[in-house]
Amino acid sequence: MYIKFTLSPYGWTRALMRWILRKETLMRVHTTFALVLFFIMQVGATSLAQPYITLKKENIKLREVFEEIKRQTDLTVFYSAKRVDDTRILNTSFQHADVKDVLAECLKGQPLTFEIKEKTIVIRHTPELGNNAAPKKGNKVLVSVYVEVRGRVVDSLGNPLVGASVRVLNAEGKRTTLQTTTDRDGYFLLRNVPEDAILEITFMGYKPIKRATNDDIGTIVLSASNSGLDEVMVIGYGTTTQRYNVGSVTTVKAEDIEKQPATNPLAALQGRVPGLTVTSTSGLPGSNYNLQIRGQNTLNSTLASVVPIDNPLFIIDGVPFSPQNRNVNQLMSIQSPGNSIISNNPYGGFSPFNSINPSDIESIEVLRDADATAIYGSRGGNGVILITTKKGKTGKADFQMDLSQGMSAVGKTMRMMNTQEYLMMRKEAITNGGLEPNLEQDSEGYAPDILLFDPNKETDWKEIFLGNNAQNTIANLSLSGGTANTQFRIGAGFNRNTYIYPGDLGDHRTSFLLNLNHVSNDKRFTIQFSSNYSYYKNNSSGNRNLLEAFKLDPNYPDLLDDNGNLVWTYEGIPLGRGGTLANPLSYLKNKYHVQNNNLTSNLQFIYEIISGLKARASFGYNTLYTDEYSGTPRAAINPILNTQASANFGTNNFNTWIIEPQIEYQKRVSKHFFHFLVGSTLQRDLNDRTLITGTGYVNDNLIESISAATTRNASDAFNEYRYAAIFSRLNYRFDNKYLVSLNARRDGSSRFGPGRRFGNFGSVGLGWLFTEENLLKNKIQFVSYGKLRGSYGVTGNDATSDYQYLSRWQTTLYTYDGTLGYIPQNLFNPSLSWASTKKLEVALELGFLKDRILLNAAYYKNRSGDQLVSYNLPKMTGFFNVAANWEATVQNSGIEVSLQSTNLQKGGFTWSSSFNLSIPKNKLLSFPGIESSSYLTRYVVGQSLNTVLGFKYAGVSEETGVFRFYDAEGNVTDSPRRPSSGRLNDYQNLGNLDPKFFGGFLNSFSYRNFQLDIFLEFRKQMGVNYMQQVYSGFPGSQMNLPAVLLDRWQSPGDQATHQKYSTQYNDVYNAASNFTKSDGAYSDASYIRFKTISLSYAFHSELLQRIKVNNLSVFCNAQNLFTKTNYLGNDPETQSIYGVPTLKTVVLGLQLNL
Amino acid sequence: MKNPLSYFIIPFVLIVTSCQKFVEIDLPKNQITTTYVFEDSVNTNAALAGIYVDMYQAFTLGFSSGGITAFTGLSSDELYHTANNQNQEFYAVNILPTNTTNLDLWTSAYKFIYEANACIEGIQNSNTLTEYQKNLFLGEALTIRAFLYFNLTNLYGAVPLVLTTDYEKNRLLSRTDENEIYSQIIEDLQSAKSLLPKTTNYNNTRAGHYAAAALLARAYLYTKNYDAAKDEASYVINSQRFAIESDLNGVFKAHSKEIIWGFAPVSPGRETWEGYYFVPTSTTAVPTYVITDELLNSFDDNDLRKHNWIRVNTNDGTDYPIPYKYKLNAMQTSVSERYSVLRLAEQYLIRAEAHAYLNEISPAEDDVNIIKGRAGLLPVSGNIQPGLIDLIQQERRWEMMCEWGHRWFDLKRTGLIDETLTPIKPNWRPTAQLFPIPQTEIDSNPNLSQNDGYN
Repeated sequence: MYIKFTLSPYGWTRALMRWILRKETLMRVHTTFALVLFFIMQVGATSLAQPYITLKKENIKLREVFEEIKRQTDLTVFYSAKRVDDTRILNTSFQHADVKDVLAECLKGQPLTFEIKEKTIVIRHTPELGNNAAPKKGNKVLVSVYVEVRGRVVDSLGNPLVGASVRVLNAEGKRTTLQTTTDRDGYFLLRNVPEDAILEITFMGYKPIKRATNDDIGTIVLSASNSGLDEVMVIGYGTTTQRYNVGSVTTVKAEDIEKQPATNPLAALQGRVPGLTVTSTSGLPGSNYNLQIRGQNTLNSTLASVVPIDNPLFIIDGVPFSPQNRNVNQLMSIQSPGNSIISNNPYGGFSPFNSINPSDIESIEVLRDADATAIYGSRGGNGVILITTKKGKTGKADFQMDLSQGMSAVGKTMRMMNTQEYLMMRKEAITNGGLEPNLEQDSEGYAPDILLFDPNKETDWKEIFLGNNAQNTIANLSLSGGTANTQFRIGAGFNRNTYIYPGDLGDHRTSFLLNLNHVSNDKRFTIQFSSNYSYYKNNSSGNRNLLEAFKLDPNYPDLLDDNGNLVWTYEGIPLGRGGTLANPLSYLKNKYHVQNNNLTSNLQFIYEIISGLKARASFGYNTLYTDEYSGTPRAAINPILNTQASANFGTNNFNTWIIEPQIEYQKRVSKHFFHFLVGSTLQRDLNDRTLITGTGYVNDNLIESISAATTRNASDAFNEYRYAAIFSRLNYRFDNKYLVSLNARRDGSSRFGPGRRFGNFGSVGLGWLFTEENLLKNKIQFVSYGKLRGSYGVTGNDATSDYQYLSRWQTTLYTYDGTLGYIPQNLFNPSLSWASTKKLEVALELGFLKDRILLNAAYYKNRSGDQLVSYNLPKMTGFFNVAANWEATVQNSGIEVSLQSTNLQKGGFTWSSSFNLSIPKNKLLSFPGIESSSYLTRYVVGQSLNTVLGFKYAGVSEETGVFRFYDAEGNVTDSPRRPSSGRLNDYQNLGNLDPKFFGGFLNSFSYRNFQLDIFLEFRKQMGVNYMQQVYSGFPGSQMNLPAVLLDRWQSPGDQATHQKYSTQYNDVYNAASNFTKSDGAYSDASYIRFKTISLSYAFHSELLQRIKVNNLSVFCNAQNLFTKTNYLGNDPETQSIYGVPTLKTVVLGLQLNL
Repeated sequence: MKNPLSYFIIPFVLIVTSCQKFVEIDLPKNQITTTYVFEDSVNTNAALAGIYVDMYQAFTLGFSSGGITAFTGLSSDELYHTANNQNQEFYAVNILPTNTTNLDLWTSAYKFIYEANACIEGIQNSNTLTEYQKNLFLGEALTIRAFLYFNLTNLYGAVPLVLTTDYEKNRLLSRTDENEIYSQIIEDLQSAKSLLPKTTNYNNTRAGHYAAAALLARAYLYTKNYDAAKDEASYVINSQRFAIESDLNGVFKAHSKEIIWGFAPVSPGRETWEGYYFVPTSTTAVPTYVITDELLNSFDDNDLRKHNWIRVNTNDGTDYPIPYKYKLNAMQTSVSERYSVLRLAEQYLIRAEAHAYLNEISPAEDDVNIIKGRAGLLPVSGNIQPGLIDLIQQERRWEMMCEWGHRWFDLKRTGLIDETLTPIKPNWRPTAQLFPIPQTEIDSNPNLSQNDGYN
């Protein structure tokens, strides 16, 4: 159903109240929404009061009523005496009543309608409407009011659409005879339109649009139908369309985000955007994602071969997201297992984007080239991601609800050994060392699993710890709508995920979003407000060893005794001594939780000083407050360790405010179109953290309170970042053919010392719509659109920690003999300054067959020089690194292709596809003095930054059964030489971990009411395989192994994949260590993944009309359902056998619009 | 809303006038810059206290928080380990260059050295500290640095000699010959000794005049400068400020007269790190670090140290002797133990050994007998030089057992390591007497070489 608003604010509020009362049986939430709406609309109401009359009379004729109105008000009433039934006698009892209501009451049941136009009331005879409308509504009264409707139809760039047809549909959606077309400026005027009618505006090549009637419907923007060419696209400080944009921008729209049952909006970007890699760090709910646009620009500070850094800049509704893509947690947990080879997950942690509800997002724009990112100056070097939330639209109020419920599970994982295989492996490992299994704890033959544990017992620990199904619940409600002056959207979302682990682990989010837009009557003053609040909480375990719990011996004794207590000993032998975990169930008692409160608000004032000249001021605020707890109660402590119960409490508070005044001027002079923008930015980021550790709890029930700790220690940290800038942009278009875009920006950042704080950045972009040239226009029929564009510019990078130019000391956490100490915090670098990235892009955009096929191919070449890096240092300098500008140049180049096409459109069946492919290449172009730098064993000039240097693997020796390697001369050796004294020795280039190519392939099918989307994500890459982690451990010791390790060397002459088992710290152990640094530990990690499969069915509108529902659809969405890969290990994306692989998720749901 | 333009003009004016000023920020509330640290004695004292906090707040067994005792104890013939983890590499004398425990030892030692260097530079550059204060703080910082280098060079042999905070220079330093490291240690300690007043207000928790002298005596002994070692040890012994505690159980107490320099507890709940890691609260628990049969059986049964400094845990019929010099696993209501860094008994043994090498048999025997007497053993007499030297080494093994790596260091400097460890360590190679330089360190410094035997 609709709510319709008439001219009078009193009228519509009454109509609204009527609506509320009529629907009182509906859910309470309706009422709540409506009330909120009511107040909002009251605020936005303008005073256009109608006159009132008082008329209390019995036996009065209609004609007398009209005369009375004339007398009491200054209105004149026109009516045809012929049509007004003078015999009809009325009884009136109006006390200070609205003229409109009086008329409506008096004309009830008659084939008469009225229209109030300024000072005139026109009474008309309408046989057809009068007869049809009233009975249909049953016993309800329909007030038919005629209005005159004006409006203007434009394309997404504001160009008038001449000759668009405007049809009037009656309240039932049937076309009436009333219609018109727009004039040469795009304007139209329709008279005598029933007030409850609907306008349908259509224009060739554009999507038809329906609007509720209003006297001034305002400007209606039509978007192109066949292609996205003319759809609005958000860019830095403005909007554009693909047709006239010279920058490199990709939009991911709400419809694509909604189909993915993901709770983190970053997950929804996987594979969707050329040039953007999104990598999940873990399958656990709330985990972070690594993002990188067009490769790694900076040298890495860590030496571990892990996925790189360089996150883009994130902006939500114009406000920089305060935590950006940093982990919000400070404490360790299974999400944040720390930087060890075993967990292979140095960037793991909680994503700040857990606080953003994907269903509130209208679009995500990914900005890549200089033209698009230069306006962000020093922050845009790594690309920019703009998140825009959903706004209200003029017209009917739309109440939407979607609910879905589903399940997630770990996909295929490597089979572990069963008890028989395991015990055989253990015996062999001990015998290989010339030992006998024994129970002496100092012996390398210590084997309670062989000698004590039940050899017939078999537990599938993987099933217990990773085999559970996680539950997912998503519920979203929203109400949106508005008048010509005020539009609003209110949304609320709820989300809940449980874990695949046993116990009550889980996360949930509750979010609210409000967007308001108000335009003054003269259309000159606009206020936009958006506010997004969310609460996120995650409960998990604070002990990362839980991730490895499934490695327990398959014949390990029961973890709980008959009374449900944790078991720590078995037949007098303490558990957990031989390298295995004592009792993994204790980790579930190491509770961890994190809570985030996020508020993003943006307020914008726009004032049109003269036509085309607008002043704009934008005020933004974002805060993310994180509260953490992690505790080790006495119940979780192995009595043998006898440590004290302890708990950690952390807060991490991110704050950003930003003020951006802007002036914008837009002018069209015949074929010239100018758009000039000048503005400035003041931004302040604050981050403060506290960490309190309490120890010595005597009662586990009090462990979540710091006051119950006998000893307390606190520490805090503060960071401030300030940023100021002036920016400008000029867009010029000639004859819709030639495009020029210029950006300039001067930036100041507090991260640098005095005299080095300011930097200048800018770009030039050019575009040529060659298909608009007369030479080509209409000559080549099948090419409907063609554009050549290019950009070159300089963007910056101040992505380093704060205060690095100062030498700082900080107070110690503890005292020494009563004295609080100071400890130096950093190596300082007073000459620290900007890094800059020079970006070049050339692209060709083509549309074929009336834009049914759109091709976009881009080549880019970015060079980052004068690197601002966290320069890796040997520890003998006292620190791990120092912030420095390093004279090394990194080049990222590549080709990005995207193709969209409507393949088939016939008889209600539509098949469309979209495909994108990126082929990146990363190269360390130059590095003066690399020989005397700490990167000698890390980087090779001319190669990728993600090059792996290590040993060349030569297989398992048939004679000795241990791994062997090739030395630098190509000879097989047992003991390859590691780098030393600046020589690589036997280290060789083993290839790089960059994706060779990646992309996504979407196929959408719709047939009648069915819609099916299949989205594939693919990536070609090399990665770390399971063997790196297995051999970082100690295959042969008391822990279970993947069953593939059964293919091992046993006796001379064997050809095996794996070397012999061992429990000793001897040559076998050393070979394993060398192996982890060899190409044997790396292999193909390419994959094709059915990222999203979404099937939905929308119910027939006739059926829905009967139950008064606008839209009802049911859907089934699946994420990560199938993966095709040859990867050696569990998951080619997370690349860790001890981490949780990306989960498969299937949800069922329904969407309802009222 | 009279003049909506004011919404836009005000911020613009604000920005244009304040851009330059806007991007200047204050330091975090809990931090200060170097200038303010060394402006007075209270703050300078805090900087020195910071080194101690850092040295002793470790979360695990670290360089100066029991790590040297534990890991060299595993590598030598003192301890074994019942948990199967990377630390077994020490016991197996097969430490990989990638071993992270070894990396932690190295990393923390150089972090403390940086802190000491920062203090030394800050104090020297200060214009506001008085001469007396400068001497006091400088002497303490030099002693700490010498102590750190002494342990570093004994673990790794030649190590980079970092004496400034200049990372541009330090990041490319190559290894300095062990003799030169010792020269620096001796030079630092000599200056410290002359800078530090004999009487300070400090108790034994800070490195004072006699700590510098005691460490100097040890450095002379290790460099075979027996005359100087004898004199320096005598200087400490004759100062009369310290005394041998008659009760073995009193040696490591907070008020022990024997301790020349000790660490006060830092982390909450930890009296001493060695007590925490070595002593299970239950006498039936299987301890992680266990004394080897070699060490246990070397003791004379009448030796009180065997009974007072070793405790035996029994689990399921198996005995697990553990180091029991420090007896407390957790913090008591008031601090009762002191983590000894330097103590007087060692000075007697240094002097005894110096006498012995100088062929001054009787004074050497007198010194040894003081130690033996306290342990309840009969005095020795009438030895000839080689026998006496062996006897003193034996005495050191017992007296200094499981204490700051003395056993490992003594085996190395006396050249007895191969013959002692070959029979009991299947993997033993002579090159194993030096720990490997951590691989990541070599990877990040092109001038750094690895020790022999570690590829």
